[in-house]
Amino acid sequence: MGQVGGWLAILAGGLVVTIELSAATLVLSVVISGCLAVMSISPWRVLRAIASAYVDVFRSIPILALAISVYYGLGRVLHQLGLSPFDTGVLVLTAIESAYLAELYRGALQAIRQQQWDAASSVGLRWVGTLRSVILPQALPPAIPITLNMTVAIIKDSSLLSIIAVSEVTLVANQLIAETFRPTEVYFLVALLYLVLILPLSQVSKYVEKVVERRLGIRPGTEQDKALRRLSIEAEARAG
Amino acid sequence: MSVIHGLLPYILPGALVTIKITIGAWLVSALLGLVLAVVRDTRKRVITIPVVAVIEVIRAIPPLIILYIIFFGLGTFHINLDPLTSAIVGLGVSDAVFTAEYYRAGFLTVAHAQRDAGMSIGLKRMQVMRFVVVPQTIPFIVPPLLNSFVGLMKYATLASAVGAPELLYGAQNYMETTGRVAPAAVAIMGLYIVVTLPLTRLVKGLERRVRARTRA
Repeated sequence: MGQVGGWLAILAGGLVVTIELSAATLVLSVVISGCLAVMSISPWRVLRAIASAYVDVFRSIPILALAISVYYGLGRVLHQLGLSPFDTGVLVLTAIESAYLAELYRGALQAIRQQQWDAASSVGLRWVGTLRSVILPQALPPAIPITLNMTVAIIKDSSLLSIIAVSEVTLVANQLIAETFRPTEVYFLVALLYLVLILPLSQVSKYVEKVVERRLGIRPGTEQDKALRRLSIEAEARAG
Repeated sequence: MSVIHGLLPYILPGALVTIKITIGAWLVSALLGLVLAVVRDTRKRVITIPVVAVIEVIRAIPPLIILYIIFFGLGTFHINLDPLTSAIVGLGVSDAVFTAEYYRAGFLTVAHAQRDAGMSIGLKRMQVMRFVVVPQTIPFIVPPLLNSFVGLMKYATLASAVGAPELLYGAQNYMETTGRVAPAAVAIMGLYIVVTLPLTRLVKGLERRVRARTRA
């Protein structure tokens, strides 16, 4: 039992890095996806094209393929720029997760009815004004559970960065196994740590989703409507 | 031209393995997901609570860890799977918990009165599922299942972590033996874009059609 305690202490160090990595990725992704989502509904064709090209490209590339390409191909350059594996990991993960998140945010923006835009323009608001004072305030609450779901996805996907030497919990586990030759026990412990981190988050996210729906009375709908919506939200929220 | 010639022996066999992993894991996911969803659909709490717990737990664990547990961890229980099988099982299982949710949402689209109607003509619960509920959910299930196929195609890269010689494994091999990164990097990312982008579009289109049909 004492042995397991020692392992847990070592793994906890890695878990802290996992959390830092995910937090940094989340913050950057929220900013980038927010911009991309706004660009994608803007009246300027160039901005729309840039946003949709970004989303198309980075949603198609597997995280590991990008990670390994960057790690092998730009390793020296990144090192000279003073970027650590951790920084590289954040950049790779952000590039991909923000594409998925941008698409989800765009959905939240597009869920706001056209009449809102029309009404705003009839009282003389321009596009930027309408976005800032009419559209964004309404799109923000539904964006909260979306962001929480994405946080879960980011934490899970961050394990992939163990392959490019980011010393998060999965890599620490692999190092521990190289010393102890006890893969079963160590990987189960890691799984447990991920559970402890993610289960509360996903429960909070479900709860917030319900609260937001109830408070704003957004698309209350029937059981069937909800089921239909789940089908497509679930389909969107997974990177690869 | 010679670059492409040098790349092909690394990429082509890898592409084949990626296809095998994707199809295999997709079948595991689609079938196991259906089983989980049907079992969860029973009203008996003794059955549903453990199933929901298992689904929630597997959902919270990164696919890479599940893959490691299956490949490295099952040896303790005298189960030794080769890298390819481990990848198919591991990715399939970690995807099945999501597929189960799609099926469940699909079941919910069938009005409950239809189940009662089925029971009233003397069908057993499983027969109601088989003849009444499941057939009607198929159109709803097709887009998410296709989406899951595309997702698994990308997740197949994880198999390289346990030594299954799929696309990324081949590309990495090329990078290490030739010391040249760009050709392999461009090839693998380009290939993924070319293959998954049209499929993603197709899924989107299908989803829109299914929705339009239900609105009408």
